[in-house]
Amino acid sequence: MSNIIQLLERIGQDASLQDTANLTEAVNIAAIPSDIKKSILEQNSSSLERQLDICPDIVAFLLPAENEDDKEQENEDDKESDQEAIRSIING
Amino acid sequence: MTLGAHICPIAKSHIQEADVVFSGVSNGIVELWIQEMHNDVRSLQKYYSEGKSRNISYREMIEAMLTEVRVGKKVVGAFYGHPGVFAYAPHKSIELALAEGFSAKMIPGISAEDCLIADLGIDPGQYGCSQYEASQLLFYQRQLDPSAYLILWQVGIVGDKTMAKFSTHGAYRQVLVDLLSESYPLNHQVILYEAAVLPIEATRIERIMLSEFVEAKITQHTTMVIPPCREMIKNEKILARLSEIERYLNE
Repeated sequence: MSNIIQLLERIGQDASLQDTANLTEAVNIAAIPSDIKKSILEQNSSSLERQLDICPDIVAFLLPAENEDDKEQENEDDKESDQEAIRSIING
Repeated sequence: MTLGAHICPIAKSHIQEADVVFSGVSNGIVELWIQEMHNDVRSLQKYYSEGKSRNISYREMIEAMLTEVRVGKKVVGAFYGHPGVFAYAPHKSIELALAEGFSAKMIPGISAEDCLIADLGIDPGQYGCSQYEASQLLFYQRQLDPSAYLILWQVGIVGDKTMAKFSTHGAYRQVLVDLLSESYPLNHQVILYEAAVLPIEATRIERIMLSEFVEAKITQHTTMVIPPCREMIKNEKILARLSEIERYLNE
């Protein structure tokens, strides 16, 4: 596993490996299984995830559309206006 | 954003020096990469579940990190892209840690926006740029400026008030299209963008018409970029005032 990840890291960091010929050479001499080499050279990340037994269903949503504090205030405001409506009805 | 390429030296050093690392990343191989840097990396993925409000998930993430802070550990939260851009738990964790008297700081990263600026060859300074969480744009009244760039995040779950969905139906996307069509023609070209997360991945840059968004393939990684559809309109009143100031200062 470590050799594969280290190779991926190197591909990300090394400008010379943005050249196809250099990349092919680096992958071919790496001490990693040949099927993994194939996935890397074919730029097939789905295949690589399967080979590394990675769950592909990673959730990446990190932001709520509404701030929870704002929602709580909205609920408070709704409650107040409901109570105001009830008071108006009672008072006629 | 991209494994290997976009982590800064100090961020990597913090990970290596931590007592415990929590990872909030967008790809399982990236998790493996972080696990190579430290022997106690805890994935925050387990707090997500379809049908469960993400507000609960975020609270649980924050509590998991703060629990370790409170027992005196050096804690690192490693999030994809920039940890402070369109991400709630990192900011809230730091806010609460500081409020409880602990030291906490954020190290900036390279966000999907930074990547799209490079990949699409656009400069947010040229015409200006607004960006919104897509659902928030629907829930609240905002003023759009179609002479500037508009970036919409999390379009894959646009319209979801439950915060419990991992994708939304085309009917929700139609609401977004209808809203945007008040400012942009339906045949206006928009860009569906996904940054490369692994260095072997291709970047997704797909140009479609606004009207085609409803049926387009959208994932949780998709960001919508809407270029300007009209030229900027000069503000003659302000320009006249500025000229007046210039003349006065040169007298």
